[in-house]
Amino acid sequence: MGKRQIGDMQPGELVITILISEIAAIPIQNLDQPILTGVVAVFTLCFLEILLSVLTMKSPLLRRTFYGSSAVIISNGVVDEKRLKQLRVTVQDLCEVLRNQGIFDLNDVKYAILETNGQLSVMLKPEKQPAAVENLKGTKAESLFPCLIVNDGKLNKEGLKFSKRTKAQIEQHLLNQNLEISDVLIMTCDEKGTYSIIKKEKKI
Amino acid sequence: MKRLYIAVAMLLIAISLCVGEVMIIKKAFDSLNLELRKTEQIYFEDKKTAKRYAASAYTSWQKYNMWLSLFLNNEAIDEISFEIVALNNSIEKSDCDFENSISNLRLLLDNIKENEKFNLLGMF
Repeated sequence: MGKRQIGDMQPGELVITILISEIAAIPIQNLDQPILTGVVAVFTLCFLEILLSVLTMKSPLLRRTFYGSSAVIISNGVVDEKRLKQLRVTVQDLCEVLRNQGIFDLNDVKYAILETNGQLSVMLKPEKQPAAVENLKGTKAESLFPCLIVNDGKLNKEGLKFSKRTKAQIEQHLLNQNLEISDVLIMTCDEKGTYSIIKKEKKI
Repeated sequence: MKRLYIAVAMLLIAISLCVGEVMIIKKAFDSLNLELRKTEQIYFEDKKTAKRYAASAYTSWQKYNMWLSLFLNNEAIDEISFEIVALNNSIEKSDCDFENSISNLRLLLDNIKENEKFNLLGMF
């Protein structure tokens, strides 16, 4: 599980943590039970958990299967009711979470994304955002949502769909910079069509 | 990748412990069974030698006791220890419980060996 706190763990990781503590307690509480039963079970669970985390890191499909994916529930100020129903989240729940973040008006929100760990990430509309240094210089505030297009050398289909781009467009843009999709660590695209690319480190 | 090496190391340790358990149980039980067989064969001819073999069985059991307590249920180990002591006593007193003790002991040993066998059912 690494250095993450309990609140940041995925549900599967929390289950494994609780399982390990329960299994480790059995030979401690019951002196008749041999210690090997606890040790082998704990080691096997740790192995399975680490293997799963490595596999989910390599495979986006496995990651989606075990941990789910982030869900956009407010997009361009519009609440996606269908998504809310799918996630079994009521509007009251949504308003409560927004209030916890100091947002009392749903109309102030441009994007709201429910993350896989249950937290809600919110981007406010430009006129509602706190002023940044560049705004004080007279630059107009903009709320541009950078959508993840390429993740660790693989195309993110959901991000592609959300940003209304095609694979061909992405490949063309990368080709103009002498890159391929597999060379890119992270690539994002915002509503204005501005791309941001972080290349993978070249292995020596 | 570093985490994967740790995971593989954990799996190897778990497998080694399981294999080690089966090997130690086999060694301990084979040694005990040999002593019991010798005792049984010689009992009706030479009780003194039978008593010596039975004492040797007890010593052999004590030798493996500490390691077996890591792998086996302590209740099962206590039952076997009790039966070995009963066997020694029955030889000492030359009473008719000798055959009962031997067969009980064999049954206990076979049960444990069967339960601890390395198979898919045993793992779960």
